[in-house]
Amino acid sequence: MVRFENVGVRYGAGPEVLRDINLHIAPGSFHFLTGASGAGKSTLLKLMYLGQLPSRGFMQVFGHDVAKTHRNDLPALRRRIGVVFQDFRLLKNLNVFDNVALPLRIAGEDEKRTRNNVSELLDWVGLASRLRDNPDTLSGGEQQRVAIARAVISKPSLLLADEPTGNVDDRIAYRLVRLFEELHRSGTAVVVATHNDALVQRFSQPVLVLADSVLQPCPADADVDAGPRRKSK
Amino acid sequence: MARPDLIPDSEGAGRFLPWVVAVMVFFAALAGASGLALHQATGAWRNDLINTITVEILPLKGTKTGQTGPDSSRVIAVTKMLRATAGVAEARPLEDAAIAKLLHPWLGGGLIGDLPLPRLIDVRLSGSQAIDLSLLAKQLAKIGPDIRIDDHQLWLGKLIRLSQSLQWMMLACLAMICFATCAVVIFGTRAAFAAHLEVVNLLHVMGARDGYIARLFLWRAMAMGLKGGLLGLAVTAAALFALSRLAADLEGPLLGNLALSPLALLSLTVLPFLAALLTAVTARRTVLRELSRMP
Repeated sequence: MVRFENVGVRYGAGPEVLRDINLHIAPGSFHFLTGASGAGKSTLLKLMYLGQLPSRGFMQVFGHDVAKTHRNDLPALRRRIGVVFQDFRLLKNLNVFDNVALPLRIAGEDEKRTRNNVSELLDWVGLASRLRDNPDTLSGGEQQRVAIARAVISKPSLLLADEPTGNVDDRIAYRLVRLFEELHRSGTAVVVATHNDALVQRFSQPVLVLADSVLQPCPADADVDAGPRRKSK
Repeated sequence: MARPDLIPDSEGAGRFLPWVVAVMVFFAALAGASGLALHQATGAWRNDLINTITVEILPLKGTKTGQTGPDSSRVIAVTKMLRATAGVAEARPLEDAAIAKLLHPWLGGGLIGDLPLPRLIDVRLSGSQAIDLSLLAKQLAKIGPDIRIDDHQLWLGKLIRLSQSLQWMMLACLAMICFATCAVVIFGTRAAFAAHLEVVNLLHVMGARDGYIARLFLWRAMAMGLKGGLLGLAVTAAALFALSRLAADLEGPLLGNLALSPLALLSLTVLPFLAALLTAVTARRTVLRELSRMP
């Protein structure tokens, strides 16, 4: 699904912020991505959701060599990826319903189907009664659930979450990761970037560790060239 | 369908855009109205004069306006000869009162009676038959000295050249106004793009195509351009109305031709829509250029 070979990223003439990344995210897999602040977790996710192109190396997303894919074809690949941000990035001038419906409207989905899917999904995340509310009126946990609903409304093959639990308390954080696990069980590949080691310890999912701009080797797991390693509950 | 409200227009540097467009449309409408009025007037002057000539009979020494004598007999003879000439539809000597009226704006009423003024014969040509003016001049010279033919071509030629130069200047003004409008729209759109970069990035990540994002800015710019354009047109209408009232107080045979026809006035109402279109297209191109820098 996503394959990186010797991928490196640098900004301008500065040092590489990611070096020699070798990685394979298989369909339907679940990974935590951990590392200290500034280790490059967000940059690695940004590469995966095609918000940035690598400075070097080979990068394949959904079978497409990104370097050889025409720019006009990238939006179609991005639509197969859902992204959840730490700061939610909900649009303040749209209500909850319209925020969640946005990816479907961008994709030109039928409005009736959009209404049904959004209502169903908001019901699933427990916000069916708040669909006409403005995001500003919701709590942090509720806003993050709206952001998750928006990320998965198009039934993406890959869900990337960048510090999704950074702005919520531990109890809500645990519930959010359970939500990601639920999505993973339905066949979506999930990568959750977090620096909350305590939270990662509570789940028995493979962990990718970024340190000093490189993915740390993990001989325990031969499926992925540089990680993941498993952490016990 | 791109929702324009994804990019609110109440924020950022784009807020001043309608005001700038209003000023630009005001200037464009004034330049356009001037150009149209001159074009219309030039055509009218050409049509008025193309089939007419004026025969001037210079006064003999010691003759004053209104006196009968040798001048009057020359007028009669010349008129008779002109009416007999092939290609002349009508030859009409101007009454002294008519000549005095023509000169009144420049000389006033008091002096005219004391000045030796030429006698004028207004000649209308049939247009169907060519007339040899040099031959006609020779025939007129036989009647008496100092009889001239004025076919207005020298005067008309200069006037038309001046008018056409002014029309080109108006077109240049319109082009510069368009250029300035585009520059302002590019600046405003870039500012709006920067102000809404987070939304743009989000839409980009969600898989929105460049055209989708550009349309958001297009509709926003078009709405602002139309708003500004209509405001500019309203101010122009008030200015043209005030000018027409002032012009109505002036007397002059040429000023009548400068009044805009209803069709010309109607054509000015297109300006706000053109301004909105120009604003929208410029905004779209600017956004597409900005987006092309994204992966």
